[in-house]
Amino acid sequence: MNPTASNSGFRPAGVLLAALLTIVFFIADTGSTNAQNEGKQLFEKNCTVCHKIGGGKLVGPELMGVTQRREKDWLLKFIKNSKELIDAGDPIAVKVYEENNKIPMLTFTQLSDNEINSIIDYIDKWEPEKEKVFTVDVNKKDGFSHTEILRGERLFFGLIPFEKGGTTACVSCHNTITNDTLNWNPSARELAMAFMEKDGMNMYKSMGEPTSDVMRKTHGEYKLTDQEVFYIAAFLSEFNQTGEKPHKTFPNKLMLFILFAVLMTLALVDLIFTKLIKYKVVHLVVILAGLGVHFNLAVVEAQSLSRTQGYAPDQPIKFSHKVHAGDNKTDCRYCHSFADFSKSAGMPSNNVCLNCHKVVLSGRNSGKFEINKIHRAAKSGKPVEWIRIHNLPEHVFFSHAQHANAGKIACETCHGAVAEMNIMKQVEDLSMGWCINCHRSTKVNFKDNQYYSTYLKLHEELKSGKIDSVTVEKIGGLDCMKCHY
Amino acid sequence: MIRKKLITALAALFGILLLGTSCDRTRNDKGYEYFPDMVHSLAYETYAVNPAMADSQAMRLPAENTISREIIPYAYPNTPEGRLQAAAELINPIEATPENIKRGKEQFNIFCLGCHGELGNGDGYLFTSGRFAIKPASLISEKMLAMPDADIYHVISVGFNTMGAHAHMIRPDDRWKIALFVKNELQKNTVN
Repeated sequence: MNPTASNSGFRPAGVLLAALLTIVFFIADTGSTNAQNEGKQLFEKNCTVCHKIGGGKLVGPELMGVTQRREKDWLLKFIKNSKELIDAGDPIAVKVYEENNKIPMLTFTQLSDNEINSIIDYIDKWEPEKEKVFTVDVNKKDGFSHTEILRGERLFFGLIPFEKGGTTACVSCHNTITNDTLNWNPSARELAMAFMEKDGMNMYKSMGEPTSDVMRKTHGEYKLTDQEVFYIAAFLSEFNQTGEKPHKTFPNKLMLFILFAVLMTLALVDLIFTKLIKYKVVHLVVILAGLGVHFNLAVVEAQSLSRTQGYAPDQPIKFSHKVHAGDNKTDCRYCHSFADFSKSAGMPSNNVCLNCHKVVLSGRNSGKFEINKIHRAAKSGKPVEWIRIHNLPEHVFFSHAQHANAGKIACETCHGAVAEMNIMKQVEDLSMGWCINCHRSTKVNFKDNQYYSTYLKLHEELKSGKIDSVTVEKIGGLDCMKCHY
Repeated sequence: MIRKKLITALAALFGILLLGTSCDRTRNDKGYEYFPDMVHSLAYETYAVNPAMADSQAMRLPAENTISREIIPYAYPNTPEGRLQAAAELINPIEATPENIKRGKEQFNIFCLGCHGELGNGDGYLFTSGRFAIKPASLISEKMLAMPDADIYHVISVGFNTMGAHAHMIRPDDRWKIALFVKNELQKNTVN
């Protein structure tokens, strides 16, 4: 039951007393921090969207010192249902309402009095954080000794256990090699970069007090000591310099090529010199099959040169089109808003992301880490360097405006089922044959689309019934100079 | 007999290997390029990196004290006073023809629907599904019914409260058309 009781060095009475004291102290300690934690969690969940403590006005007023300015009973009433108070003509409530552009505060009738009191307590006891000085410098390799780095590495890879619990090693979620599968968690290198960056994340804080739901769920059992955090930081700073190992796939095609080369050689050798197999059909079959496979591989590989079909690189932010365009039903043009007017469909700037992520601070899959990247980028003014996937050679002209606006082609026609992709991928090969095929088969909407009103002859032919539909080919979609000039 | 078995075994091996041929490249690998003549643009493309610039961005802002063609600077700030002033001074230059209202509806469905909802009452999918914590403003409240087109135009342009500015995403004409749609269709539907 009690760890001290099993210690035989003490006399019985002393042991009992010590045990009792420990228990009492323990209960008292956890009791107060639990209430404080509950208030904090409730505050973060319900209030941070509009309020800050010690950070100035957001949508609602600054809350630092609000418990001195107003009485607690009044606060309780106001938080619960501010509208009622305003309608009742409470002078302070009306004043607050008018000071804040007449935006009513949301009602929190779903919270109990106790819960609201714990929030008020949290605001009351709130103090500016004593910044723990984070002494890690990314560019200073001498900052850590070799043993510290090694110790951190072992902790990270789970070779030595953590002192206060936490069973899974860091590496099981935070990859140290690039991976082909989807992993919502930040990789070890991303962690390292976020922590080492100037004004970046504070490692002690994010490990000690997980803030997002995802972090709380996954990191709840980890209670790392400062020393352990320091060791892991040492390893991460080293890892940031060495970098991650690239993920390699087994070269199946090459193996197939070599296998058939060997088989063909054997067949030839047997056919001419050794003559072990009587039936020459066997040799013939082997050689023909081998030639077929070699030819096939050569053609497929040659065709894929300069085309990046299936390319799905890791982007600087784990942005999921499935979450945004699929689950959240956001229109493609909300973010790629130039598609109707410009050659380029437009990459959303940080501001576009912030339209929603000013309020949505925590993702369902990735917690706060990925969304924080936008906020850091917006703060520093540095654009996020997305990696371009769909790319046509310079000698081809392609305009999104012509296809999306004039032709009213759906985005999915060329980009595939983007709304189901967690990792954006190039679905089509974007080859010339692919373009031409589409131009041959796509029918132009001549009836309702003003853009094509100048094609008088075709309109006449349509009317007289000479042709029943107009394809892109008929309006010059196969002319060389349409795309190459 | 043994040879037949050997041949079947080889055929099976071939089949298995053929199944696995599609994964020689990792998804991070672009593959190879052959004679990339006139493939890479010498001029900087949109969003490209320009090493000559201090911030290495190819996209530049207009030079100081100049404006781009067709761009009219928007003078009203994102404050309650600015909003009132814009509502009082600006006049919708677009006529309320059915075509313009239809265009306004299309644009509304792209940019506004997610938050303000199909009926314009603030019950957009992002809010009702719990993804967005703050209830978006209702466009059919009494306050909004009393305001002119310019008020809507102003809020789309510079934003209000938690709503961000959408001026860089929606063209001025389309903003006016959205205002037309909200005034002439969305609000009328609720009044009747």
